[in-house]
Amino acid sequence: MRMKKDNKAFTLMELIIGIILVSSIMMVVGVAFIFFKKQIDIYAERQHIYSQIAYALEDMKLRMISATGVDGDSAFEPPASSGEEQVKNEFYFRGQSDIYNVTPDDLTDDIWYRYAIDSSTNDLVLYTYNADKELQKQEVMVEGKYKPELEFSYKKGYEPNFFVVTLTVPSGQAKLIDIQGDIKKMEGLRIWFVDIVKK
Amino acid sequence: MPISSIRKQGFTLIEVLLSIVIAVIIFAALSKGMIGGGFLLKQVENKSRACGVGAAKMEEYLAKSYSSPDLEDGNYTGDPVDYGSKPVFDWTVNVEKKWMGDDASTVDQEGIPYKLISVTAAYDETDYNKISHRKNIRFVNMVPYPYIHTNIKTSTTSVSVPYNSYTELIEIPVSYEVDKDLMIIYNIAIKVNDATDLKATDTIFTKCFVDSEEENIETRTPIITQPLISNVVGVNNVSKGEHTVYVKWYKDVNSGSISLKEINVIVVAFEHKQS
Repeated sequence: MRMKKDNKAFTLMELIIGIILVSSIMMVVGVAFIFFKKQIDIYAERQHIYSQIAYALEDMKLRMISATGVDGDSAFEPPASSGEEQVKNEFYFRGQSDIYNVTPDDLTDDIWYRYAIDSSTNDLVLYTYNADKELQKQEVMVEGKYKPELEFSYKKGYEPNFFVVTLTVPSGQAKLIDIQGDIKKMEGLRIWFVDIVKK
Repeated sequence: MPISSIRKQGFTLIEVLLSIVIAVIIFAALSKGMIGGGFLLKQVENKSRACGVGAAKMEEYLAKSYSSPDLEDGNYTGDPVDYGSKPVFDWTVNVEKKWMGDDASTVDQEGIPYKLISVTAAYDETDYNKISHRKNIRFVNMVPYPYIHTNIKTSTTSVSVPYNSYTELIEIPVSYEVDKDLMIIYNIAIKVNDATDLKATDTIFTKCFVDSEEENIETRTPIITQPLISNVVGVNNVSKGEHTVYVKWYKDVNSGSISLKEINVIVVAFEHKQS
């Protein structure tokens, strides 16, 4: 059998151009992929942080509204005439053991709660104590890897049963996509049965 | 077998260029999408922060009582809320008194009053073309006129019980914005300074008055044997406006000297129920 084959190879020029084109495309695709992935990671992380912050604030609102007592260290001083804001980083109060069964006239079923940042893990934790203030359990509200910051603030002009909680989570990667440097959410909290200001 | 010629042809330059152009367009669209996504995220976060500011302000004003000076009609504002990164959030609270069921065209101020609270949080936002826009978030809620009012007054002023005609012992001014049903509770402790010629049947009378109208229930208390007087009086359908509640007393004997030790009066006012 005789067969004539047209076996013509690439020229050097074709090869070089081909390599340059493929490299360029690969580079663009690679950079774009890295950028997109980074962006998606940031979005996902921020979404995760938002949901944890929302969960923590909702939990605070639900538990604090029916509080029946505030620990002395968590109570605020009466507002100064200068109106300077007072800030605390934790809040320790007595509330309902079942937040959906509010019995302010019956303190026997009440337990103690504390929202604070755990200094060793950086977690924002809800500590639950029994009536004798013995620690029973702790629940992580915002993970320590996000380094949450917690502030309870009270200032002149607020009613004695009202204060503001602000939760801040710094986001170091935000600069990459030009968005806010930290995730911050504030919530006004009203307590029905007790004041949070010392008499 | 015949000799066959196998023609192997690669992509033409046009094909390659077209492919590159298509690829670039796709990547450009994706990039724009991602950048747009980032911009959208920024907008959503701004809005979320503005909502936080507005909701916190609303909660602050809902915590105030209906009659608080902070809930007088008008606009209230203060320092902008600065989260530490742009934008900062200005806030304004508008308080307006309204009446439930009031005809908006006549505004005859009938019905149950309430304070309508509107909170606006405003911030500047730059759009995709770097043009700045003012954005607003608005929350609306209300503080209703309280269903129950209480007035409490105590007096230890030493006044003597007069003889034979009702004389004012204490007065409590009250003011309501709707018709009310009152429950007036009073407790009186007396001191017998001089019991000369007093008999066991000698009596102190006490009665409640709303403005000049006397109520039917009268207490009659023996002076010698009962140094404490208690009474509860119900007064229905007290019209809205300012009134004065009086507790008056007298004794039916001219002898002896009896004075007040202490009086406590509690006026509880419920919204009048139409029968």
